[in-house]
Amino acid sequence: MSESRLPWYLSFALGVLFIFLSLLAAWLGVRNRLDTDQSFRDAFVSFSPGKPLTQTFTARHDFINIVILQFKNPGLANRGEFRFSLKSEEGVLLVERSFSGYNIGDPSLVRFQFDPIPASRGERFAIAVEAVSLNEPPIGVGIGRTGGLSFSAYYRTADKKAGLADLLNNLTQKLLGDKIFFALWALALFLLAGQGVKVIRRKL
Amino acid sequence: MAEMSIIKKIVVFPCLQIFLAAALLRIILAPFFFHPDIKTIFYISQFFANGVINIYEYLAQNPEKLILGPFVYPPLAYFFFGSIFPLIRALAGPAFGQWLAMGNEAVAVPHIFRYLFLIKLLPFAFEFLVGGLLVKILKNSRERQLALLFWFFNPVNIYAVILMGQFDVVPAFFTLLALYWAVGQKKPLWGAVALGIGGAMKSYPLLFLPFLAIVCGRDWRQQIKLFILGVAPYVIFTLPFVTSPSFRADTLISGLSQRMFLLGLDIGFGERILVVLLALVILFLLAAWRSGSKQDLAAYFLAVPLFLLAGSHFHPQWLIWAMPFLAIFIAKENKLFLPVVILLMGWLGTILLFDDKFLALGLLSPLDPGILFLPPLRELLSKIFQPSLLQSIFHTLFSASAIWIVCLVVAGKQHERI
Repeated sequence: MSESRLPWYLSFALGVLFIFLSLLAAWLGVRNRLDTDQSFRDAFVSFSPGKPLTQTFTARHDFINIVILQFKNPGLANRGEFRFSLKSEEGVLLVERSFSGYNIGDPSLVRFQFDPIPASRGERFAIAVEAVSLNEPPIGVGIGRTGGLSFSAYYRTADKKAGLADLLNNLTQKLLGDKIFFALWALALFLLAGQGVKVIRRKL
Repeated sequence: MAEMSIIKKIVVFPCLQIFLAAALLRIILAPFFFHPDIKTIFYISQFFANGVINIYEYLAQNPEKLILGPFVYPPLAYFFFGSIFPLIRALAGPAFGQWLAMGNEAVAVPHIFRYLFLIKLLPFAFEFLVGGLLVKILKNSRERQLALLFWFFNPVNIYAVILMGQFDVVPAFFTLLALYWAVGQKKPLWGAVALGIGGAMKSYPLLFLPFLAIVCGRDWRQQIKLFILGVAPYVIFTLPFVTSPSFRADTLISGLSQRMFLLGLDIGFGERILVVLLALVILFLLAAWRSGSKQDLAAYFLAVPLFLLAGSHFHPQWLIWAMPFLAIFIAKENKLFLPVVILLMGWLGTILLFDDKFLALGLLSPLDPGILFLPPLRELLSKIFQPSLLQSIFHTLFSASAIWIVCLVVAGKQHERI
């Protein structure tokens, strides 16, 4: 094998192998996939008893089963009681979880996992958090620029075939969602890979 | 025609092809793999752009900013990343600062691939600078190509630089620059300064300094001069911060300085023989015994990190410290291939079994954030095997091959051709 070709073979082989094996691990290993993400956070705001903070979202998939919220418990000082709830658009209580300040870091993501909600696709849900006891010293919950809660929602994949389609679909959407980066990245890839192909062909 | 011929020569120049192929691999993989360390460094470095000089005290006095932990590196690393932060932020877009301030699991945000690519550009640049130095240091064309192939495509660089984005390659560049100046250019004073600059970013290059001083100094006066000159950049950058309690707590007592003293032989009455220190002192005495032979310096620069890692609970990226020198030696001696393969297997097995999800499957989380719900490999493996025993086996493989490689390069003749 020519010494000029070897690095190109290595580069192509390793690049493809890493991406393929990573996708394979993600496909076979992951059961809960991202449905909706609004995780950018501008600030933490405190909340008090009787005044829940809410956020609505429309699920893109069936079997919604996890909601993750961002909290901040300054100095880990608050050990009060709090409540998370998930309601349907009609106000039907679907999930309710109590949690303690003991479980909240400075800051931390808190995961609320529940039985998958069938036929959740296209349905509108309302997330709410409220303090059960006096929120002192105040724990804050992350909010985004629009004032809504920062959150991520996940769903349970139905089967491996659907999981593969979702994995590839989510990845493509994420790549194409940043068009400028994708164009420049693809151009660099195309130019370098083209040079590699040229070197490999020249020596054949 | 002559110009065309020169261009053609450059394009088919084998070393250039290696650089281009290495760039391709980095462009393919960089956007899709994530480790929180480099994000934390950029998060903290943004305060430099806001005019904060003493980051250690600033974070201590503003605990609400301390959301990703303290800054644990020497001040020059902060200034360095802080200086390039505005450029990276300009390329990344307005939400970059928000992303940096998010927790370790912030992989689902829009533009994540762009952010990951941009924050790894600096380590990539230094990988290529190390590659350039390897070309300068090695005279034989075949050795150059072998060294570059090893440097750009070994599992340590792929894992620690491309996938994780660790910046250990920056001080590694300064250690190789020190070797180039001290041996290749016969400018040991510049070499000592290079080690000092590297040490002001991450402390370990200072451990190379006694070897450079003793090997390259003509007499004891010059040896002391070299040592002082090497320590000077570190002192200049750290002295203004020494009075800061946060700096002393978070940085002066580093992970390395704690871990290298853990392995010991108990001799009773509360005393221990510290094995790593013992090995380094013996190596130094050997260097002093042979002083005058500058060609040995590369062997000592390889031996120091290998001894450290052989006897310590290491971080994955620490092996980068040895890789430029290993590239030089493996290009010269085919017999090193087997011990290096065992070394790399031992290293990989050890790090994949750490109880940290971000060191294995978590690296893939930008491809599918759901991966972060999976337990670390160690936990998965615990159902069928005792992970600590398996990890110890891997670390032992690593240590055995590391010590064997040190024996070969220190006692062997390979270095005489550098």
